[in-house]
Amino acid sequence: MGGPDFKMKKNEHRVEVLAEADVAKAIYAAQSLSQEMGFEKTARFMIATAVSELARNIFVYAGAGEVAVQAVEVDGKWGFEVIAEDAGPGIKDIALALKEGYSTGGTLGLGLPGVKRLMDEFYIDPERQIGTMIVARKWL
Amino acid sequence: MTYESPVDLAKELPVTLLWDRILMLSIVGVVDSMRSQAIMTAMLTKIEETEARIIILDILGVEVVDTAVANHLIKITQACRLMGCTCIVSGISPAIAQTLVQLGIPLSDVVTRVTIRDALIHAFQVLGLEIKPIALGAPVVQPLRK
Ligand SMILES: Nc1ncnc2c1ncn2[C@@H]1O[C@H](COP(=O)(O)OP(=O)(O)O)[C@@H](O)[C@H]1O
Ligand SMILES: [Mg+2]
Repeated sequence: MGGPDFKMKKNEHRVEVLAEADVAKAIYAAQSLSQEMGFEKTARFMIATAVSELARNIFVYAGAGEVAVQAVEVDGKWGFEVIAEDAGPGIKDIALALKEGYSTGGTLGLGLPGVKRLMDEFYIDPERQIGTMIVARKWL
Repeated sequence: MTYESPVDLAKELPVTLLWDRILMLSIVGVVDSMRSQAIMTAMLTKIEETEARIIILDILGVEVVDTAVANHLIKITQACRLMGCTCIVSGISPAIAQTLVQLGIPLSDVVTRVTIRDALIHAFQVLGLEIKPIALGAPVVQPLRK
C-alpha cells in the first residue's frame, strides 16, 4: 500500500502511549470511532483488538509512542485507519517480526501477524530510520 | 480506584461459589497485566480454600481479547489444572471467537463455552450431577427459554 491520496481524513484521535493504562485509552478511542463509523460488532471487536496489539507493542518494546486513529476516505470508500508510531529500537527484520511465533519478548509472537489478518491493509514502514511506524486499515 | 499490587486487587475480585466445588468469576473491562495477575491469584486462592473442581471464568464483558489477554487465559487455565481444577472460559461471543481465530491463538487446551449456563451444564456433567424436575404433583417452575 504506501500512502494513497486521501480525499478526506476525519475524526482523528491521538493517544500518547507512555504507560500500560494508555493501551486502554487507545482501545476506547478505536471502539468509539469504529462505532461512529458504523462498523458491525465483529469488525469493531477486531479493530479494537488490532489497536490494542499495536499500542501494547509500543509500550512493551519502545516504551513510548503514539497511536492515532481516524476515518479515511479513498475513492468514495471509508475506512478505519490506525497509525502506530514510536522512536524506540525499531524492527530490524520486518519479515521475521511478521512470522507467527516470533517474539523477542517471550510472548506468543502472534500480535503483528494477527493485526495483518484482522485488518484489510497492513504496512510497516521499511524506510524508517528511527523507531517504528505501522499503518493498518479496515474498510467499511 | 487504584490498587497498589495484584494482591490487593485480587482481594476485590468476587470469585463466587456457585455450587459445591464450582466457582465462578466474571471479568469486565480492559484486562492489563496487573489485573491478569490479580485474576489468577484470586482464582487460585479460592480454589485452594474451597477445594473446587471447576472454575468458570466469564469474559463476555471484556473489551478486547488480544494476544496478551489470550496468553493470560492459557496460563490461568494451566495453573488451575495444576491444582486439580478445570477452568471453563465462558462468554465466547461470535466476535471474540472470530478474532481469536484470526489471531491464531492456540486455545485448543482451553475449555470454552458460549454462556455461563453452558459452562455450568458442563461443570455438572464433570461432577456427575444432574438437574431434573422434582416429583410429579409438585409445583413445577417452567424453565426459562432464551
Ligand atoms: N513497536 C515496536 N518496536 C520495536 N519492536 C517491535 C515493535 N512491535 C513489535 N516489535 C517486535 O516484533 C516482535 C513481534 O511482535 P508481536 O507479533 O506483537 O509479538 P509479541 O509482542 O508477542 O512478541 C516483537 O517481539 C518485537 O521484537
Ligand atoms: Mg505484541
